[in-house]
Amino acid sequence: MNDDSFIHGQDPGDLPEPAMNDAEDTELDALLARFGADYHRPPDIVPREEMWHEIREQGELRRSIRRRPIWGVLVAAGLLLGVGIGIGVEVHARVGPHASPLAQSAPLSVPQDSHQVAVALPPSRETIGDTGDATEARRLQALPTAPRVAANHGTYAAANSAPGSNGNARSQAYALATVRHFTAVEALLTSYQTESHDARGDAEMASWARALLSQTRLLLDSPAAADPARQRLLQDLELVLVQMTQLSPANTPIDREMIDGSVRHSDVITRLRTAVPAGVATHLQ
Amino acid sequence: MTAPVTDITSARSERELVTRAGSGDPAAQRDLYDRHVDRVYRVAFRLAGDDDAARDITQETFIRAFGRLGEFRHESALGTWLHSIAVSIALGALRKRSRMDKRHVPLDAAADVGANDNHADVDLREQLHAAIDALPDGYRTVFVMYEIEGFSHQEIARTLGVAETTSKGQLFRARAKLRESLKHFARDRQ
Repeated sequence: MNDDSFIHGQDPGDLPEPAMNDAEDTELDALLARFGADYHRPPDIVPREEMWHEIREQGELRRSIRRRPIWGVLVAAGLLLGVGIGIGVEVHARVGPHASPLAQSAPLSVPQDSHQVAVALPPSRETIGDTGDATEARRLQALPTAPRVAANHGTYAAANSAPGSNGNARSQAYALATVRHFTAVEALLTSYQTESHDARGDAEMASWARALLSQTRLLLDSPAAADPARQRLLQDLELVLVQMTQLSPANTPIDREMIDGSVRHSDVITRLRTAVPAGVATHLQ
Repeated sequence: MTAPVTDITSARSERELVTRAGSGDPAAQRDLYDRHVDRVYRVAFRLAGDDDAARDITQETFIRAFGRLGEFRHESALGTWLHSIAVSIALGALRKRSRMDKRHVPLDAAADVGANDNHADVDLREQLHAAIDALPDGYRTVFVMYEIEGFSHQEIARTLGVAETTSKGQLFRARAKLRESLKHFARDRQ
């Protein structure tokens, strides 16, 4: 019990003697006997069924919310994985046996448009074949999807560190993480537009939006936001996600209209689809 | 002294119910709810003073309890454990409400119950209730549980996680404050 008055409770013997007499005490007892039971008198009938219904509903809702943060974990893991791969590949590119003087001395740069973002994505099997490494291509085909994406990315980044290429592993890693993030946000916005807005749905959306909001802010503070177009998109997403974190059953249609308005006004869904090249989402999952 | 057979049977069945409810059995949860909801709701209503708040406190109590039944070690009665959750939630809600009220009401408005009675016909009952309302939450909780809901000091101490002497001390102080408030009222009526 954290209530201060309990913490500082004293033994009755320690208390200052109040100015009173037995008559006053008797009077108080008489008053309490007459009116005490009326103090905040509860209704005779306890609303059992209504409360039980709420308990079941709220309990189920909270359990589903506890399950939902897996989205946040997945997005965070994707971001870390992407950055980790990038740093590893960059080190490999700079100190590895095939590292060119140009790759070793190349300044860090970021992709300038969505086309360049796409170069950070897993290349097709044909692209791998074009590098002449058929054994590697067969090995990658045998891998499960997620490791294949990572391995593809590593191979591709290493290949791009050849002389004359502007392959920058770190910016590629951020680009990969950004595309993963954009895919996740697009999924959220699509769900928001298509699913019914009930209490459970709102809570799930808000929880999902919170996880993505923190990732958006991480990306805004990272080199991924060095590209002005991507930075603007991330900022617009941040605004929409902030509004969506406020979703609750208490929201009015006006609140929803504000979210819809932000989505429409900033045209984020179209911009997200442009930033995530077709077919990429399948590779990233 | 040996406990009556019915008590032992009842305790055993409640223990089984707790285990089942803790593993998510809805029927067991409903059974526990039916056994304890009335008392929890009553205490919540006495402390909160309105139906909406009492419902919220009761619901939150059972939601939390069902989620934490695995932590319940049967060191006290389940009812005591539930009441401790309910009172904790109620006091949290009251503190929040008090902060909200302070934005709109002068700080000393409630502390001077009885002193500003200009009308001789103020109802004695209303005055008593207002004086109870004006007690600090800690005093009021013990007062309501002991004087109105009939809990023993031992039960209050277990529910609130304090010593029995603390519970007695809180009650003593609550009564002293009430007498003081009501003395103003009696004097004004004369």
